[in-house]
Amino acid sequence: MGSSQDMIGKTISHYRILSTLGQGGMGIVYRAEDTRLGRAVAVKFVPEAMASDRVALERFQREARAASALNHPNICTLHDIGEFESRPFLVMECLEGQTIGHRIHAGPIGFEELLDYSIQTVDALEAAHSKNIVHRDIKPGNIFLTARGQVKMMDFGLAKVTGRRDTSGHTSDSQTATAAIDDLMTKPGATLGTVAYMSPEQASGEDLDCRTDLFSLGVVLYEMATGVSPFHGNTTALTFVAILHQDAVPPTRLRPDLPPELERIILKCLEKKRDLRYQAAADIRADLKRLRRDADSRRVTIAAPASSASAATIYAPPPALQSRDREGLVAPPTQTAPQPAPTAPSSAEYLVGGIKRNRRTVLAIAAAVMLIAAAALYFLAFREKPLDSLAVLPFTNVGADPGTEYLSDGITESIINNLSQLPKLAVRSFSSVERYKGKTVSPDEAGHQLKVRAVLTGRLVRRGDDFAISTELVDVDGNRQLWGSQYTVKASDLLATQEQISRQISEKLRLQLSGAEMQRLTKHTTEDTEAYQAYLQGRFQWNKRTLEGLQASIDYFQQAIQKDPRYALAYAGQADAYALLADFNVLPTREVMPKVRVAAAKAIELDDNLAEAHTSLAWARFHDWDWTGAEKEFKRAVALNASYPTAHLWYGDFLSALGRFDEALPELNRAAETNPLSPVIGLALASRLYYAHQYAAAAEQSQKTLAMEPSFTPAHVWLGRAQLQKGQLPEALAELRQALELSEGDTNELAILGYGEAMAHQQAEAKKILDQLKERSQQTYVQPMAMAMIHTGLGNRNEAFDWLGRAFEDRSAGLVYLRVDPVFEPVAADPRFAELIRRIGLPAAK
Amino acid sequence: MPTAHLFLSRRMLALAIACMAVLPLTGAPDTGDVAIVVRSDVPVDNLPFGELRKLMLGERQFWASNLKVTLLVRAPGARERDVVLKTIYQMSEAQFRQYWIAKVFRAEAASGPRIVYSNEMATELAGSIAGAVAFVDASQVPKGLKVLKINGLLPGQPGYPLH
Repeated sequence: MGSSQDMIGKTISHYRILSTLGQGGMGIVYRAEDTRLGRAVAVKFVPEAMASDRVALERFQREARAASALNHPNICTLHDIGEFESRPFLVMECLEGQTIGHRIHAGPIGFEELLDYSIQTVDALEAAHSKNIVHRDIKPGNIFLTARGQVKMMDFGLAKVTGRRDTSGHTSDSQTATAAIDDLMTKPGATLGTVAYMSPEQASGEDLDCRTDLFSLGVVLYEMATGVSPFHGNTTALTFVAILHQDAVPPTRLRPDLPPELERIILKCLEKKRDLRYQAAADIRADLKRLRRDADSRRVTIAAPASSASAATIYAPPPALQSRDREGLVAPPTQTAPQPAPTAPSSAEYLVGGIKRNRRTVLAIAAAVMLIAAAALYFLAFREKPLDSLAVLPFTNVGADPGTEYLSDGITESIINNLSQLPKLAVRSFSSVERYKGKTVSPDEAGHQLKVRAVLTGRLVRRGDDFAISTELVDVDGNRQLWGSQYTVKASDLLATQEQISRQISEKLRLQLSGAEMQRLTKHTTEDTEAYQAYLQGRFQWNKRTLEGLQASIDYFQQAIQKDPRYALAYAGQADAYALLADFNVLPTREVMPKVRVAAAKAIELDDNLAEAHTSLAWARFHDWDWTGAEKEFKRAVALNASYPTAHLWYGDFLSALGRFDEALPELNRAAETNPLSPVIGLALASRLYYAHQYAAAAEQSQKTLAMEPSFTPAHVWLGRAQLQKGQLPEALAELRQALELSEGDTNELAILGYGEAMAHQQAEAKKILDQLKERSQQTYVQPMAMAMIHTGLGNRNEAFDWLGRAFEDRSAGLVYLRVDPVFEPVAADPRFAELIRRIGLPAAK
Repeated sequence: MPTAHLFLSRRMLALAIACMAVLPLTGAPDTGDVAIVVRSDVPVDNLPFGELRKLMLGERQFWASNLKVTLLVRAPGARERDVVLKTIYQMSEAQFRQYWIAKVFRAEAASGPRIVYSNEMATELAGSIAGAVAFVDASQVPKGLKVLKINGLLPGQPGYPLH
């Protein structure tokens, strides 16, 4: 059999191989078409090692036949087995979605979601166990989650049929297990992922029964609940020690909001002795379903606010979980909770009864009540102060449905944008919080990192045509919940819902808003839901800052405009997308600018109070060399929305280009304050220092940015540039080469390396790069500034001015920095340079 | 009536050539060549390589005055796309994107090539969209589609450029 690529297009039996789905230690999986039935299937070839082992092969086929008898909605169906060129293969149901493993890595799994997946998984196990089939390899990677949220257990083909003992002299299962373990022990770290899910009896090579799966399931549940594995070590041997001898850390210590009952279920699965563990999958399912029922009964429905949201609910955890609630911070429901069972005493009855039962505690209780009351009074006095800074963490796209990914980001960004309109509230920008996307981080931890007093988290789940959105607002000091809400809405109501969320947040933060501010907060940017969704898609793609994303964003913004020709934000988005075309070497600035201007002007015409629109127009004026006009627009944008970081960033950049470094600093600092973790802003600070000839500080700032994001290519470029000016040539070249490698040979990075080679007197290398750039320019755009820079480095003064002239014709973006860029200092005394500065309209060089 | 005979024989010859051109290649030896397929009503049987490049660069946008060219290109990662980018466009993936973004921005083309995700999708669309041209593995060309010659050569013949 050839390589996986060679298989594409081949027909095996009646399966036409279409593409590779995955490849790993357990073989290669292809997407294929069943030509007889016309359906998509997955074809999995077993690993080569197994294919050459006759005993293993026979066993594999025997077990696959047994597994094919499993017919359950939560088990990936095995359609067929066969052999091709002496390699056995399985034909399975073709699934689209992700594994639970990927889902865990994507971010914390909510309680309801966790219960849902767990119950489906247990259902599958029960079905298999009822036919005496033990899976033996339960792990997140073998539990698939379809795009519709359905669990599908995979790889039953490698399961073992129990209830029969092999007396034929073949290796027994326990011997096989031991051999496998011995093999693993000799390969430290190998297949550690699978080892971590083994039961103690599996780890010690004993006979296995259904209860081994229940232990492994416990490990998976633990990981879904906490995001970490209960048993882990740096080597396979240490992992075995943990499985065999160490108790798992109770999950609620890692995630305090988990119900204790769930913790009990998980820990019962993880009992080392199988007699103490759950004895059957059905028992776990019963406990999980009971837990779900109890959680549902604690759900308190409150009246839906005046909006299209159909209902809003607050999840009221049981008293034992109300660490936040005990402090009296959860808003009381406006409707009463379901009545407790008639036999249950009221809290007052309980208290009185308790006092009667133990009169000696009365004084102690009274003292405690006074203390609590005093604390509450102190707290209430404190909470009257408004919370003046907020971070909205990226909403979790539950189920990681790629089709709703743009919505979860879009809603986050829209809420940020809405709230950024309020001068009394400092809101961290989307790019500042984006790094928390898919990460498990507590609100208070994120809040402290982002230096805010409140954090909003949210989740989005698609259920058919409906979207369920849940939100939680947390006061970072003390990690207290201020507010929580759930909404079930149609796609057409998403707009109204996010405005409602913004308004409720402002209320909960106790911001005293004027009528005009409230109007700005709830302003509709479009009434057309499809336009809004296209805009969100566009922003989502644009934020990727890739060529592919840029191309897609242009299409989406155009669609948004077609749906709603009066949608100002869509025009601003379009202007921003076009503005990046020159940076990506797609087109000269000269060609891009007219469309940027038109789109930005249209956005302003439609809504003159949009900071985004004024920022886009300011950028256009900046690159039009209309210095006065650009500054006016930047100032307007900043005045309209002081929390919009792009306005401060680009304004700071503009001031640096003019050599007004002292004025640039506060703008860039303001951008960094709004967005402290942005590498782009970090580099804007570095470039300001570089242009101000503070090379050591520029290098230091670049290194700080690299510490934040080591693979951020521009940071390597700026570090290299600073090192070149400091005369650290070998270090500089190393950085620039690394940048070129990271960018996969991008034109900009190639050009700056060419300049570096020239500066390092590597003339042949520099000329070679010049030739490469010329060749590239035959097919696609190469900025003339790139050529001018290398010729300057080589000392080819006439050629440098020739290319600068072409850059002038193209209105190359880099020309705005001509006056301050040290690269061109060697030619600055030439009269042609002064003339160029004059024509661009920059202030004369000092 | 020698003229009529001549006319008939020319028509028969043309028909025979057309039939040969649409013969299914499925089952043909897997040479790794990539075939260019179009509907049989596309009035072209052979393209010099330079014309093919013009076609793919969007410089030639019509087969005939009333038949527009629709380019179908496989999504990134497919071997057929790699062959097309390497041999016809002579561009990297990034350059290919830059090229088409610029082309559409300049309104020199209404849109870039349509992306297809499998050879089946490519041939299905090539068969259903008038003027569509697709690139598929030569061993997977279904019946009813015409395979274009490049420089007079069909896939599998020595010197055929697309592989």
